[in-house]
Amino acid sequence: MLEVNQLNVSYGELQVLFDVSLMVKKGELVALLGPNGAGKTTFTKAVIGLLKPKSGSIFFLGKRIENLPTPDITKMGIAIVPEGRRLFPLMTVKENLLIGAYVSKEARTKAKDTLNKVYTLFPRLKERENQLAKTLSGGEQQMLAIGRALMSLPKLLILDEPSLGLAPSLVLTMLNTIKKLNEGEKLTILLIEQNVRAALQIADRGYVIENGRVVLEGEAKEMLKEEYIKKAYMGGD
Amino acid sequence: MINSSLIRLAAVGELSLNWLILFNLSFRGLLFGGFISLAACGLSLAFQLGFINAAHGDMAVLSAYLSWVLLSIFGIDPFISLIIVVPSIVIIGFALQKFLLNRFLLRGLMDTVIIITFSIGMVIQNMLQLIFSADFKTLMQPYIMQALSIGFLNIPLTYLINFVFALVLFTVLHFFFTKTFAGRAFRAVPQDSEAAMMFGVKPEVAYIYGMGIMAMTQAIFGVLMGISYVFAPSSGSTYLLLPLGAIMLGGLGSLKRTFIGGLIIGEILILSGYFFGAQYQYIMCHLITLILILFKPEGLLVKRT
Repeated sequence: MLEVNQLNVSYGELQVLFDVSLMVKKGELVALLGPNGAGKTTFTKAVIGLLKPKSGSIFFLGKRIENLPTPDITKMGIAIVPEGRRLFPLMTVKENLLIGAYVSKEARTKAKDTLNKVYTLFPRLKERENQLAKTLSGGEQQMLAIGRALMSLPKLLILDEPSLGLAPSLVLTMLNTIKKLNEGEKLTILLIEQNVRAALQIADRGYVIENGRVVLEGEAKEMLKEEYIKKAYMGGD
Repeated sequence: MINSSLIRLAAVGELSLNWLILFNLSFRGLLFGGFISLAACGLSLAFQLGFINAAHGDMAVLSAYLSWVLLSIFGIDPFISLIIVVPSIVIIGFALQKFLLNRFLLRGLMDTVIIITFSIGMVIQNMLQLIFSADFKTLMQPYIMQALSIGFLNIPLTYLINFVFALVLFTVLHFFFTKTFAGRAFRAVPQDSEAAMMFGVKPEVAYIYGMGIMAMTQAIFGVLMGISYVFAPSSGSTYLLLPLGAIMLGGLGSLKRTFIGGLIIGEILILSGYFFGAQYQYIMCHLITLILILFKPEGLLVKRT
């Protein structure tokens, strides 16, 4: 579904990603892992066209997208839960959700049904329907960001650090929800996380990125046993 | 100002005459407020899109002159001229946004836009002065210069027409911006344009159409202003400052609040004109606005959170 080949991205003179290749197949839950500053968010920005790569290619559903503008890419069926949530603070919860459906005609006509589905998934959002987004707690904001992305009826959902800033108990709930979306709704997901152990427990496959390079990839179950992962990310064993 | 029925009703005593005058004036103030709200509509939208259009008043005056040309050369009635004036001003607005303002707005240079629109306003003003001289003009028509008497209420017809136009325009735009997918997309852009792009919104297109809507409201307001009053090339500043007061007073970020803010400004103008005399009308209006805003800096109609 998503195929990234030999991607190089720089901010001016400073190169951030070096020959990054990654693949997400239909129905998979893939985790992209790595520490702060490894280039994870740069990678997401390149996929949705907010940054133009220096070289390399990105295919989505067989079409090259690396030089398309962001609105055209997201129209094809990629929805993102961006880092820091990026909600519209002066709009209500419901309005934020409906913005998600702006993306395509199909999403707009089905907006009512999708809205009910999102409310079933996150009943809390229904309760806060008419509140301004800026008045929500961190956990609720994260639900809203996910809900907004789901409103666009995506074929691929990219979540950029959904656990960031959440209380530990909420992190588990959040990851369970993501797993549920992948298994129950058959949604293809690319999960970008620092929380390596938790992410690998729900993912099918994983990639580890460090200093802009993919240093490790494989089946999630295998990766959890990997010495390198244990040493670098789980504080030994 | 006081018609015969009012006097007849007030024949019971002097005190009640004063109350009737006051009631009549307040009602006029409310209707006149609709005119101020209409003047503020486009500017309030500009604020919501994240910038200030300092050429706001001049765009209205330009529309009035366009209608005046159509009237004096082709004899087209000012109300009918809206069919030509509105699209013309909207096209000018589109062009201005696409080729000039977007270059700055899309780079987040909101302050530069203030200065640029100020210059545009100056260009419009001086151009009008060169072509039409600094003399006052009007689009007033005999059939419109009437007053309606309803019971003891006495209302100039123009007040009622302006109010109805304002009410309709605000209702339609409020519905558009809160209840439609396109309207919500407009509001999303200034709050986070990158996030809006992630959901298929193209900020450059949103700004162009946004300016089109502003130009439309200004064209309608400009023609109605010309029908109701006299105007000169320099009239634009009045129709920038009063609307700014209305927007501040109501509180930024909502058409509904701007509409009510306009009503309050209209009320203050009419009543201070009566109590202090016409020469103090504007001073009092701006002073009272200033004092009110001191007590509620976020706007009178904004709920504190």
